Amino acid sequence: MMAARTYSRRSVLRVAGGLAVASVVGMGCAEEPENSFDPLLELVDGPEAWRRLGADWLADEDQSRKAAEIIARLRADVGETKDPEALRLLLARRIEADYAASRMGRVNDWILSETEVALCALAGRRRRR
Amino acid sequence: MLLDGRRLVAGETHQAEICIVGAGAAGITLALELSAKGHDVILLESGGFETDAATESLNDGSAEGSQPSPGKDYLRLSRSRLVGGTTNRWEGWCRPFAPLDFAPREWVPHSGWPIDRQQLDPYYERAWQRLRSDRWHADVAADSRLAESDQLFSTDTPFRTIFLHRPPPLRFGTFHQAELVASPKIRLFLWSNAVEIVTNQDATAVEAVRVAVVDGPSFRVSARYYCLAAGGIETPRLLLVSNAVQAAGLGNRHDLVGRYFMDHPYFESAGGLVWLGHQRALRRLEPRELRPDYLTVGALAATEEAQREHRLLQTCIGLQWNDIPEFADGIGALANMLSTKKSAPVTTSVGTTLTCEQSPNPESRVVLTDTKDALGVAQVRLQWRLSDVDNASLRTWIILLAREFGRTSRGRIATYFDDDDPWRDVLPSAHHMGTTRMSDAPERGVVDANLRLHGIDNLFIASSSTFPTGGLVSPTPTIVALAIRLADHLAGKMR
Repeated sequence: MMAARTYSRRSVLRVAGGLAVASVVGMGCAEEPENSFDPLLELVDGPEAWRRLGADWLADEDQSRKAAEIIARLRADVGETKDPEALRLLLARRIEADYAASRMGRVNDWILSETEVALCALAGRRRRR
Repeated sequence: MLLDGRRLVAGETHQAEICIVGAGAAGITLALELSAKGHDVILLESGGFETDAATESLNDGSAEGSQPSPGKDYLRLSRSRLVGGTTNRWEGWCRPFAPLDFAPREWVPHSGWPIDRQQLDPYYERAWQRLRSDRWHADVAADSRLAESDQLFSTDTPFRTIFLHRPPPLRFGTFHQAELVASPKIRLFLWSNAVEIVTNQDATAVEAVRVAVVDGPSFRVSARYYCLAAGGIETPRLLLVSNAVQAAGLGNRHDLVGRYFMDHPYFESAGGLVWLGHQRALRRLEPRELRPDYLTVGALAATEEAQREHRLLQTCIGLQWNDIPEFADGIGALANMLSTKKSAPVTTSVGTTLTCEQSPNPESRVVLTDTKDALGVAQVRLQWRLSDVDNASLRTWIILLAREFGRTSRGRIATYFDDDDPWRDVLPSAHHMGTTRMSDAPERGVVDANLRLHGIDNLFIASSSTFPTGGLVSPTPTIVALAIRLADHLAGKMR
């Protein structure tokens, strides 16, 4: 049987009962000003797969519009945290909290927390530059 | 005793206490149970002990659905017309239906059996013996023993690992051939196709079964009791074509015969899992031989409480070790880096299969067509239709699973389902159920709790066609358990 890995790529699970995978839509992926040292961007400068995940996802216009909103929320929570380990822990806890609250989105078939979606989007944007 | 229908005299009537139509798991079980109690049985089988092309062609028909389509050859490929019936294709997985399967569930329209699991338990015990499956392996008790060390999640989550068990698949025809041939109480008519159920003038009692042979004679069987054990498609077909007295078909006053067809929707490639933990925990779900020729495999299913809370149908995922989803490495690295666990977890990536229960749907049905088979009997068209209840359950279940893996930092889930077309790649499991459903009242079903057709004194059905809901697992053990229960009931009536 065919592994349908492409057809659902840009789809987002819709509301299902009390559990919803947030339709991660809405904000343009306008280039945001990049600080000389951006701990989030440093953090997502990891495996090529993240950039590909994010780039594919951002290629969808609807998803791209939403990305900035999610990233903005993430940046607000991160604030001035620059220490890599503190940032890692903050994000790890935020991810668990996202899942617990069903704040999830779908990126290239993967159902991820909103925080992870934002990180993938950041990684994807780096690739587009 | 064996009789070859091709060599019988046309126009004769053969008599017995009980006439059983179909020598599959249900028919053979029923015949053996009743003959052991001293009753005289005629067992009608469409084929012989080997597959025969002309006989198999009697299975031809069409299969369709607005969504999904099971494929044009489904009716032929999912059944076997020979002694042993579809056990000749059975993989052999043994597990009883769960207690919740029998209960009315307000989130599953038309759910609820007129009997409960507790009533069926003694018959399951006897079914395991017939299926040569140890109770320890076959029953849910096995889960608690295996589960202590094998659970992926702790007990406060909505998911549990369940285990399916497979003794060497029992081919009923081959396994019981000598017993059937030697029995002085069973007359097994081979190559003998029931083509019509003949009733009295007001269709309150069956008087005979009309039997036809491809390029051979026609004859009749007359009995005190009759039992249709021809599976989820042939059983409603035979009732629908038996329309000499009731124009809509026998037992079909409420237009229920053939409706509520259910299968177990199955996805061979449903998505993937990145597991954050020791690989050995995940490996416990792999097929393994706990003893020679006895396979056990794990699957992840929602608890009964979660099914209630989130209005879920029964659903489970299994693992596909050679079907790793795209981006799994990247997802694993991301999850690994951002884990709250003190030591970095090991990541393992696997593909997933998914199997789910189908909700009873009156629009999912078997209907007659104008095309006739070689015996002049109308062929059927199967319209397999999944409903909004199925859609909602599938979506919720997947999201819940992804949430739990993420919330507990145990992993990440990928899904290949298309939002607009979630059933696009679904496969049927060849488990034909529901088309002559069991109910307390004739307005809601075709047979009563004793499997007797509502309104007909001496006609019974032993088949998965009587299941009001289909659970998650192979129907064969439950078919056998119900057949044993019916044998006890009929023996009681004939005392």
